[in-house]
Amino acid sequence: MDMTQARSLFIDEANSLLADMERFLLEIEAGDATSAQHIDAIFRAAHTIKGSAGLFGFDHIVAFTHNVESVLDKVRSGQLELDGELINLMLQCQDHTASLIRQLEDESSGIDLVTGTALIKQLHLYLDPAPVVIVAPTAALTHTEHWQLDVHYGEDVFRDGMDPLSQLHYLQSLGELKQVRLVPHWPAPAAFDPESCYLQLKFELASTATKQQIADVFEFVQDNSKVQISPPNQIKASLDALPTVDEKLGTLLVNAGAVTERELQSALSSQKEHDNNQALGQVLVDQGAVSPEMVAVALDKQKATEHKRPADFQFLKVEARKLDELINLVGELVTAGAGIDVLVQEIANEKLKESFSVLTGLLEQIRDGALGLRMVQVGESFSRLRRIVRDVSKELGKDIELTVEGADTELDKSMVEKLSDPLMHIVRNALDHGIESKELRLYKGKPAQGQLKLSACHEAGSVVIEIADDGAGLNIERIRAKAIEKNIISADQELAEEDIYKLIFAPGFSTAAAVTNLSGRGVGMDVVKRNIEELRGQIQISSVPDQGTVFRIRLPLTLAIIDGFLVSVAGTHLVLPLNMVQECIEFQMSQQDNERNYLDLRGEVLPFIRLRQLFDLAGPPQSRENIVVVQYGKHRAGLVVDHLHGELQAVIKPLNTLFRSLRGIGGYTILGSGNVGLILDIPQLVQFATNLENQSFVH
Amino acid sequence: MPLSMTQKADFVIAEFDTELTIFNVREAHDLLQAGLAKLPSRLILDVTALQDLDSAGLQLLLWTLEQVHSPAQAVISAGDNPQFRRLSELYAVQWPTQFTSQDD
Amino acid sequence: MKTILIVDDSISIRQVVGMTLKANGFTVIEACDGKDALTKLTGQKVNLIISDVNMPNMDGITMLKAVKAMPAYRFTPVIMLTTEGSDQMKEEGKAAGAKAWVVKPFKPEQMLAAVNKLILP
Repeated sequence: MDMTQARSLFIDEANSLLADMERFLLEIEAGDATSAQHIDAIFRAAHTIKGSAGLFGFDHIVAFTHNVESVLDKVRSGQLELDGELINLMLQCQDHTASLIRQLEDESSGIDLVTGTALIKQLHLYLDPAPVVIVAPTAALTHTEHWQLDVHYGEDVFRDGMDPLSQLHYLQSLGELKQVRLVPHWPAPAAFDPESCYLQLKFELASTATKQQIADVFEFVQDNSKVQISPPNQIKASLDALPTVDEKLGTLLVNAGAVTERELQSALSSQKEHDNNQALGQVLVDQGAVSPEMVAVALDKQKATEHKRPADFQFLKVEARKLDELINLVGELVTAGAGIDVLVQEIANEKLKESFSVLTGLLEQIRDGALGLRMVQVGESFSRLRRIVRDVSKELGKDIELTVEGADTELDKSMVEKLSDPLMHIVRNALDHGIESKELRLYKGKPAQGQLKLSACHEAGSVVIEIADDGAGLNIERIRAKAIEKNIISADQELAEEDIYKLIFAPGFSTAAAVTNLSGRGVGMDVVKRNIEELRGQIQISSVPDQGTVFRIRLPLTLAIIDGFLVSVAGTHLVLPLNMVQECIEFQMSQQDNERNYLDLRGEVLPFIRLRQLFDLAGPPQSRENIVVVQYGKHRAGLVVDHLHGELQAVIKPLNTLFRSLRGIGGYTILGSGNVGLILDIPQLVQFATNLENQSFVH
Repeated sequence: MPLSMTQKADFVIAEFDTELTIFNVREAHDLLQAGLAKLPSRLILDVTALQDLDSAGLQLLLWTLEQVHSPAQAVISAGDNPQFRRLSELYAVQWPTQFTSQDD
Repeated sequence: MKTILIVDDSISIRQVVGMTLKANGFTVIEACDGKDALTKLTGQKVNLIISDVNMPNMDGITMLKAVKAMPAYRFTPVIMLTTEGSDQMKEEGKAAGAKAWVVKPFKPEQMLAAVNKLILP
């Protein structure tokens, strides 16, 4: 994942937001919807585009959308009415923003500053007089550093009729020599041969020449001399500015003037000679031809080209609807397969069984493949955050290192998209309020550099994303005071530590004092929590004063089809997600005190739930019951069931809204037999069991 | 002869002719070694007359200065030799031109 | 003033190169083949030799070996005029003592650049 990839993500996102904005504006104009219905979405479109554009340093887009957003904010707060005239203006702004986004893709088209300026002026008629922000895109930075040359002349240089002086003199025609240092490497006095050359020349050259041009000056001495030419930083800029075309690393570096053709050839042949797998870039660095940073820039560039090129061939844009249909069908197929499985078992024909097991295998592969189509790496969201961390820490004058772990953890695409905003806010918060200023950190005896860690991993059937900082930690007293001030809690309310942390998610609670580009305007932590809950996820906070805060987001792997484990209680079929099942043990009533709801599992207290009781299922308990040990997160619990039936593939169907309030049931599935199987909501059950256990201790 | 040597008291003066290049550095080196063998406390390399000097010649001058160890001293006397000055500037070489007080 | 000897059987090449070099402050002597060159070298000081390889009477490589054997020219830089793709010629020239080369066809500026990389004007 690199900037270019992230950038195209931004463009996609902005375009889709702009399309929404347009649609909503038109609906309001046509009278199909009210302003109140859509203003939040319209505002959010402008807000999000502004925020993301800031990440990429598209300051002109930030400046423009900031104005749009400000006017929309007034509409949102009821200070302005979204009348026909304003809708018209907003549509023009939407058009202009779209043109700014298009310009990012096609840089040959210029930025229409005239239209933009005119629109900003009109927008300002709706605003209080405030400074108009118009930022033209900044030109590429040109560093004025110089070429570094280090020429260690070979002993035969004089005898070959070469004179280093002539090369120095010649270089003066290419630029200005600076800091010339003549370093003789004298031999032992007796070994001195006046005809041999012992000279090394080090100097800088301020020149706009290419590396090839400079290296050419030494073309006649390079056979027996060591010539090292390090490009100035400026080359990096020109490397960046190179058109993105299909090119190899070496060619890229040569074209940018960072490496000469000769150096490239020599690196290539050394690579071949040693038959090593060392990367070309590394070989070039080892040869002293180029700095590691330069290679990094070129590699980025190359990745960008690699990315750009296959876009036409290796990626297909597929309508999400088609994908969902396919996944639905695969789900039906799995269900039908389960039906046949039952029949096959009944018929008990070996040949039939055998060929059917092949079919089942293929079916599983199709299922996984189909589901995999929707999976993307969570790193997409992470990489956008890199820029935030960089820019914000600069802006705040903090030194913050971002580490990312598990960027390749896969999540459903829709989730990754919806995660990006919450992550952005949490990270921004950690940067703003979590990590202290350098001075304060040093005073507290912490390293000046703050650490921010983003990690993602699979944990017991869900994906856990952690945002951890080593900052000041949450201030319980402050949060409490603020919550009281904002009337979120009453002054005499007693709250556990964890519950106090949760207050920051309360609507209307925001510790951000300043309205910044990214946070502010009340799109705050409450939205974060809501977004995550919409994904059927949970967010937890743990914090230690002066050691830092950890936000843990736990998300289900929203798979439409799961590997399940079928059990039954009183003839009711229940399905557990297999990846949450740890083990099954026999449950002997006699061993248990009927009142207690925990047992000793190899020395560990295991709370358990009798599903018969929980779901109020008819019939007396069986004499032989089983207990299924499930785990969710760090908690384990046992579920007491009658029979264990084994594994199956279950297509998750959502429960009708009528049944949504049922606790412990997450959905249903049609079993091979045609019966309905209820899918247990393990997280809920585990929590329930844990609470029961705690209560029983209290009693 | 690329240079001529004269000895006055504890001074040795090496006066270079018009050329000090790869073509005559060996000869010049041999002459200078002979002069240095006399262990003068002060050596003056007089390059005022040099017109044709290349890097090999310049290297020999550097080497010769390098061979004179404290408390002995060596300096270059270039007068107003434009050719010598041009080369010295290109290489950014600072030559010792004055003897420092022995008491230092 | 540095003196350059240009050895080539093509008068037009000698002319153009000669003109360019003279315009840049060099003294130029011309020779039409290897034999002629050896004659011209005797009795005067030449700071650089530019020589073609394929020439009547005496080819460039033979001439070069003879030149490098002359004490007054043993360290004199030599630019060989080679032809595109003839690496063998270049290697032969290098072995004979021509450590610099310019590939034909060349532009006058290219020749001037090569000269300037070898000697001070």
